[in-house]
Amino acid sequence: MRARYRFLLIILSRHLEFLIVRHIKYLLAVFIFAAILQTETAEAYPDFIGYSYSSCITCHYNGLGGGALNDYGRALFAGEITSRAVFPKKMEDEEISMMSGFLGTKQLPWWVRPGLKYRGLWLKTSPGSKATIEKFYNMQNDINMNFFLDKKQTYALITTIGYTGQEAYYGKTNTWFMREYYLRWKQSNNLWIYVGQMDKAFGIRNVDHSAVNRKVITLGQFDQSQGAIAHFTYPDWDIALNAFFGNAAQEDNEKQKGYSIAGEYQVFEKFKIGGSFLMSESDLEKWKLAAFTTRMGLSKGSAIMAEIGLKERTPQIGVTDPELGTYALVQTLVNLERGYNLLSVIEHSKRTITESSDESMKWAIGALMFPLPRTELRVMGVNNKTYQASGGAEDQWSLQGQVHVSY
Amino acid sequence: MKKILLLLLTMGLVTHTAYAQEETDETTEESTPATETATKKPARSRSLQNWGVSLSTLQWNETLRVQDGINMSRQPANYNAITVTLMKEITYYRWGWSAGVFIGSGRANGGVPGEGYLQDKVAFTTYGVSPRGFYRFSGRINAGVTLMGMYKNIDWPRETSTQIVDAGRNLYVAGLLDLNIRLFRKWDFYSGLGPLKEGDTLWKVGVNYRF
Repeated sequence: MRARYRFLLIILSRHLEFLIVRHIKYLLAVFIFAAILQTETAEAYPDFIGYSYSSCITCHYNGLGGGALNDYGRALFAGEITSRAVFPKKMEDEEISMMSGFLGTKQLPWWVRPGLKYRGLWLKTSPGSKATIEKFYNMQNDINMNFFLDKKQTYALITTIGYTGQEAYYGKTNTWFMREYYLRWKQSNNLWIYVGQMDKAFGIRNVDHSAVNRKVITLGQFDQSQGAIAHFTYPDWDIALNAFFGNAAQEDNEKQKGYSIAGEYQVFEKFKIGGSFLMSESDLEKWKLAAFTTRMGLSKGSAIMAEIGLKERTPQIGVTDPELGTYALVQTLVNLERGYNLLSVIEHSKRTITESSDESMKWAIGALMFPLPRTELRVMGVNNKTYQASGGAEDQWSLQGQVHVSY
Repeated sequence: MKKILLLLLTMGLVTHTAYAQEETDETTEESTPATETATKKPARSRSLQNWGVSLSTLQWNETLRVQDGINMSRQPANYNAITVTLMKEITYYRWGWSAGVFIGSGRANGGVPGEGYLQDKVAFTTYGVSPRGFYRFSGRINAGVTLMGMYKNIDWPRETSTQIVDAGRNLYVAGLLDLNIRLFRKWDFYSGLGPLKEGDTLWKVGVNYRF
């Protein structure tokens, strides 16, 4: 119990530290402190097809997922995903949902929707051995500010300001940065246009940026790119076309410029298959990606999803052959009871398939919990195996604890 | 090898009884006489039985003891196999169990470059039994424990005439925590993980097909 309080105190103190050190108004710091203590909702994940929410636009301002939640998404998480153990039994889910706004039940003006997001990771590698290393990362400190020009939200400006701690954002640490900023135009129910800096359209946007289908293939937590997306959405299918030109914080020679296409088709209720393709290049390297994706709801709150892809990286400096590799991810979420889930993620990647190369495998298994409103906790054990091109390698274990507060 | 696989498959096809956990009307231990069905409600099914075949990968690591004269070193080794399992499953409302026999083959890498022993892609075979007990969260999700009793056949090559390579024991018993997901009517996705020896972990990942 003492360790738990110490863990919470570390989180709170670090959260407050960066706010106060950066001269944010004291009142805002107090407000955030209060928010952490009295939290209400969490974040939507692609696994939630298990709840029959197969389209990202249901819960997010971005129709391809990720980023801030819209009002419906907030209400849905408070009233359906999160444990209701802290609420009286007689309280209806609708009442809980009504409290999911940024200021609780108090309505904000229709033209603005703010949000706050924090994610911290405790990591212990090789537990039980002398070589063990224990670290805590403040992974995500985001402020969402979303503005609308009309009540129907036909025109929207979506922005996310982030603060990076020790994890460098294009060479800079301990600094604020604009993670995403884009204009969204709902041309019709079937066509959404996005222009600005945002995540590229490709594959499944699972939350773990260290997964094989994210950071290592230029789709990490800092890989938002300037560009435009046309997203066509219909009840049974959707397709997004994305032209992009790199992140504004990157040096010009690092900017990946290219295009991507991502789409999904609903074969039957709670079962979607999809495909993605991406081609981009900078002065340093060229990328081609292709992926098959699938998501399937199993029973209420439970789902399995997979992404299997080819990745081709060609260094642009010197005479180097392209490296054509593979990756795969299978993620299973089993809902045990409301707010408490078993999570299993199996990953495989191979740098190149045209010659002998290492195979990396990772299996993370543990609990994904929403015990309190607006709060997510993860406790995972991670087993890494490497099949080296030559010789053997020992297994690696690590333990991970994660706290995520989404206000 | 092909003949054995063919025989196992044929046995499965010939002896199959039923298939699904959800299809409670097909093959049950309690049957209701036709004359009674007109007047009585159908009896609630107690269990379902079916045969299946599984195609899985097995991955594990272990330590090789390499002795050359008075020098002895411990070297990591990785095993990667594909197995075919013939199994029978009996399912009750919340619980179930299955038993399977499997056979497989694969490749293993061992040693560390520059440390006295290095061998890649050494062929091996494995076979064993895999009884399993599980709890059903729903008709499509069950989790449980698989008890893997497996035997491996491998002959690690010697790099010098005086070298002795000891791959440890060949017979293992391991308990895997597992998760079985019903993807489609006849197809499951199975994943299981558990400790093999101290510091060594066994993975079993594959698909099951029910007859």
